[in-house]
Amino acid sequence: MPDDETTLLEVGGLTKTFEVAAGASGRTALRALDGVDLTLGRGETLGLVGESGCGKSTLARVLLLLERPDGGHVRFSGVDPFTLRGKDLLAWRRRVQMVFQDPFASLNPRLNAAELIGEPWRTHRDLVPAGKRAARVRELLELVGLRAADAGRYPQEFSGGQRQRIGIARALALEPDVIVCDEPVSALDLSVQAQVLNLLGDLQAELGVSYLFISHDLTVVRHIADRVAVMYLGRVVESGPTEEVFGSPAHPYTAALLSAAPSLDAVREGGRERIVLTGEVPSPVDPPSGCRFRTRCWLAEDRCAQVAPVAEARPGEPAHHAACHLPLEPVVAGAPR
Amino acid sequence: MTATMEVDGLSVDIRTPGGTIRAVRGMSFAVHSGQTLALLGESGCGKSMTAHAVAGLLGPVADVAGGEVRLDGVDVLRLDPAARRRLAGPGLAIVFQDALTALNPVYPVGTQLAEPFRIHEKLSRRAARAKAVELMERVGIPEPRSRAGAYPHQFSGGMRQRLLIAMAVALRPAVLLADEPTTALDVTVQAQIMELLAELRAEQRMALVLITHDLAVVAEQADHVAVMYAGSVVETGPVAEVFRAPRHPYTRGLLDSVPSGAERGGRLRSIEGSPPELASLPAGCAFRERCPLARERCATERPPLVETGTGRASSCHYWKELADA
Repeated sequence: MPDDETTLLEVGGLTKTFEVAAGASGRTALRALDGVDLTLGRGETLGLVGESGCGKSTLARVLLLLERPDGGHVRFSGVDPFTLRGKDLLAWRRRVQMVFQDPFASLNPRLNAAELIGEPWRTHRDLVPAGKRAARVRELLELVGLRAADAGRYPQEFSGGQRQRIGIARALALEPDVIVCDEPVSALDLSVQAQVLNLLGDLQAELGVSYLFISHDLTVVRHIADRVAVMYLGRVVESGPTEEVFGSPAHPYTAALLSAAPSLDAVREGGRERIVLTGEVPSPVDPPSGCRFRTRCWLAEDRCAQVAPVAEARPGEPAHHAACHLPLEPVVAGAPR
Repeated sequence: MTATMEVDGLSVDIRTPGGTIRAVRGMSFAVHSGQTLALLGESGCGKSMTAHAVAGLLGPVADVAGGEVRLDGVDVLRLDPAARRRLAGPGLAIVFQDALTALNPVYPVGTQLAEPFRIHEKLSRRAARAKAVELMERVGIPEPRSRAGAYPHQFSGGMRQRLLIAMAVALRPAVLLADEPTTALDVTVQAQIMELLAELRAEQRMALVLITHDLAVVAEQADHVAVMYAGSVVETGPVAEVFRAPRHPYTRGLLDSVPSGAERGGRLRSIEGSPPELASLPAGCAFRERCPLARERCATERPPLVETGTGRASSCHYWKELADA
């Protein structure tokens, strides 16, 4: 976990409830975030994993100030961005940017590459002087592995991987400290996905930018993330350094998720015992009492229904937290999975 | 062993305003009962188009331009439409990727599941309904009797995919085509659906053709794999052998692109460039512009799929270099 010096972003006890229609009976509350704690260090990649409906996109939207949380706090370099107004708010927005999932839907087809990349400067006018913008666009294009000559081409003239590079260049145009990447490679073909992952790694090494990397693909997260947080029904159930969490999960849900994900490594290593969970994720409108995962957990006991477990560090792994009454024992290195 | 289904030199043309595009260019593969063949490839490689051609479901702008699809020795492409329709269900069935659009939103699921029994087996409404409930139970839908009256939108994504699978296996098909059956689903549900398909395959001795872009799914689920690139098979063979020692540079490139736990954070070896446009395929080998082994011969001579060992084939002029390396 990053210490005070290097912490860029800190989130504590974050809650967010939406009102949703509940058929003829009126409206009901959907608690999308239910006490989320996270930290993100400078130059670090935090992987955020979980199944659909777990709250990962809501969390990203709160961090981008697109949603106001009901409770808890967000601190960015020690400042609560929700208290900012006017110029200060504008300056803050520049520092957190986003790369979207679908490069076919997220780029305006009527703007060419140069206009797409330079568009953010129309809002943040002081960042790059008008006379230097064309040169800066060319630099950014080359930085993301496109050619300066591509500046005049339109999105539909690029392949999916090239479009995602434009999306990344556009995010970088504002020189952000954090880029929220929401499933940035899931729409791309495997061979192209590897190119984009390499690019994200190179850019981080060069620019020191932090990534919040949201993905359902555990193989990709394991490759790119320094630390990882696993969400289930609005709560972070486990977090810690990627190798500690993925190598030896403490929360049964993480173990099940890892075991369910198809993996070439596992086949190469001669197979494994698979945990196939019964049922599906319960509706966030009517979540189970106590531990949210207990309805699908093979270890659950009475107290799991009564008391919601709080995140605790695993003995010997101070940065590795899990919210479970019955955490799994650490896997001994070298033992069969 | 004789194949349950053999696809031989299948080609499919798509008519576009800009001219005719050959989307499937001489596909050949075979699948045996009780086994799983994976058609593996990236988007636009023609894998779904192949499945639709085999199932007789090509849209109005696509036509089969050549080749044969033999089901127990009979070429189904030559059958008249009525005979072909009789095969849909007991002969060949298909599970689509998007279960919500594949189910009819205005009929209860029980009615839709009963349809194959009403049409093919001429069962009474009541008997067909009973069969439908039985099927729902088999594919793991809780409280099937009361849920049979519910509509598709009242089911979750995973449950809808179970319904679609139930409908496809209702008449115990000889061959089941599954077109990306789990891509729209969450990981834990994906595992449940793959397990269900594997059980049904074993139970009914079906031949399963699994269409996917996911190498890990292939490694875990399939016996044989046919790797596709730009509308044709570039390599085929038993999964374990192909993945351990690929004999086509494209297969090798794909395997190298998968992040491995062993080399976390390092650079991935990707394949340069992106897949070619089908409308403007390069002459010779379609992969040559991205291929590290390419030389002059590849630009002029399209490599045929040649046998490289027992049950294995590759369409690379220089496969021996990969095999020896």
